[in-house]
Amino acid sequence: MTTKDIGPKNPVQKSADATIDYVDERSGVKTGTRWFLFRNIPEGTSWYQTLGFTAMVVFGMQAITGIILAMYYVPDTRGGAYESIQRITEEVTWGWLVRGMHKWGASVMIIVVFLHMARVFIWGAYKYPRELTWVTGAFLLLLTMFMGLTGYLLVWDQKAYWATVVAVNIFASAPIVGPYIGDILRAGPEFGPATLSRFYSIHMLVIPGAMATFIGLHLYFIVRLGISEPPWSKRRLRIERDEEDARREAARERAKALPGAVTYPATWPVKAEEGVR
Amino acid sequence: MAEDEPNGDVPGIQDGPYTGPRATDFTPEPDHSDDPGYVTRTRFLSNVAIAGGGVLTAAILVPVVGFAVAQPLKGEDYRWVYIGPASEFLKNPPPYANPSPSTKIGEVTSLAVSGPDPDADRRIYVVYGLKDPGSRPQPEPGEDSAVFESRFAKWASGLTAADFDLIAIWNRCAHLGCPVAYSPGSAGYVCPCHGGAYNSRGLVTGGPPPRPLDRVDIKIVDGSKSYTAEQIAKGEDRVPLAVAATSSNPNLQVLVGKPYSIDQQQETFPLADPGVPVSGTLSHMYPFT
Repeated sequence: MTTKDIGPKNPVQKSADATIDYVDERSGVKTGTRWFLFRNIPEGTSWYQTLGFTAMVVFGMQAITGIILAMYYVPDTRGGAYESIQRITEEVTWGWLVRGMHKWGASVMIIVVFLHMARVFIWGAYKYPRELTWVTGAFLLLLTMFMGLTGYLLVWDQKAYWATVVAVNIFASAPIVGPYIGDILRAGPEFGPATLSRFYSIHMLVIPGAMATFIGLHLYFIVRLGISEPPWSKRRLRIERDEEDARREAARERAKALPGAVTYPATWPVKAEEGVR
Repeated sequence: MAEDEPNGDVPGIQDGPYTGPRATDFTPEPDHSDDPGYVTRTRFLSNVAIAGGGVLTAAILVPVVGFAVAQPLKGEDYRWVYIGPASEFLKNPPPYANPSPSTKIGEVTSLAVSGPDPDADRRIYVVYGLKDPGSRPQPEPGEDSAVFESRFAKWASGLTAADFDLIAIWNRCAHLGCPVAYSPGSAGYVCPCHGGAYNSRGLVTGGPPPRPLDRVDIKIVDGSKSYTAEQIAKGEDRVPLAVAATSSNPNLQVLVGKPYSIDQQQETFPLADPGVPVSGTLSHMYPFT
């Protein structure tokens, strides 16, 4: 037998493999995929760790439905913004569905992002060496909230208008720079057509770009550092117990070294504070 | 023998130890790799590339950021807007001429006044009323109506034109900018968003607003006369309210102009954003406005 006989006989699979090999040789896509997806994960990994991915999926859904909605939405205050949304909801085929997905997806994204943050916080998964993952996540949270604010105005009905007036004025009442932020957000001293265009641009161009960047960074950190162990991981508990034992032992040693120290029986627990005293 | 002759040109071969140049005396070409201050060719070119890239980036970003940010920071240009003849706002006879307890003093006229942007949909309330609405006697519980009426008449007889003024109140709530509505029952303004309450002159009576309702400059002019821009800027075109209130001149017109903010003592301040206190300790948090 020669080595040429090794491998699939199926010509379809053969050509598929050849294509993958062609791409892989030039891009390293196989290595990249293995690096990105086929990682070792700690014992005890559970559904809790899927919240971040869920948030990313919802972001993807918001992006896709938003792109489609932008094909029908007209950001014009003089008869256009409100009317085009009425048209999307009432007339366009499946417009009610896509708009509903985008509208409810926004709420779902906020909820999922907060659940994800709560999981990370309660598990202590933000600790060394994952601080920068947390920081990029915090930026993503801010961007998500700002996405909600800018998207809310686009409906351009009374509720959207006045709710956004109030929200922008809350920004504007921040100390020192507040009035400038208000003017920049409003595109002037008053709400008007320029405000809607500005919010539309921020909502569909500025923030999505920033969010994609930060999601990329967030993922890079996760892949580089690996996902954290749950707090009840046996390995982590063992490490923490060993650290605690080492601390107690060190305190005991310090207590012994002190002048006039009593030699405690080894079975006595000695607290670190007592040792120092 | 030629071999035994001293070789005078090469020192040290015959006359003692070698004194010529040695390998250890060799000075190497200067290597500046450990000198952080020395600019090598590579470092110079790197710095040039970084600086050039910075200049190019700034050339793109400065106009873009200025385009996005600088324009909104420009102030509004205000112009005087005609809102109607004076007779519409100054009731004839004026309210201080023989009022009875049922006379409403402080008539409120609601007007849509668009700002510089037609979509802004600004609304003002024009109030012709007492400078101090609290001075008006109110019937005390259990008070005989004849006693109250005599008390009221005594107060009313002392009224002069100087006790009244004409103000234009912007309906933008001083808390967070919702539109306030005039409520005739309470003779004041109420905000639907967070319950800010104001009296008929726009002073805060309750709720979260940090300052009274903003006002709009208002003036009465004689439409049959013309003034130069300088005279208008000096206010020489203004007809005093006391004169206008008793005048029968049909050419008197009411105009509104630039908005301004006031504090609870009705001191005037430059227009501030909603939520921003204009006087008191907290006003120092906004040093540049």
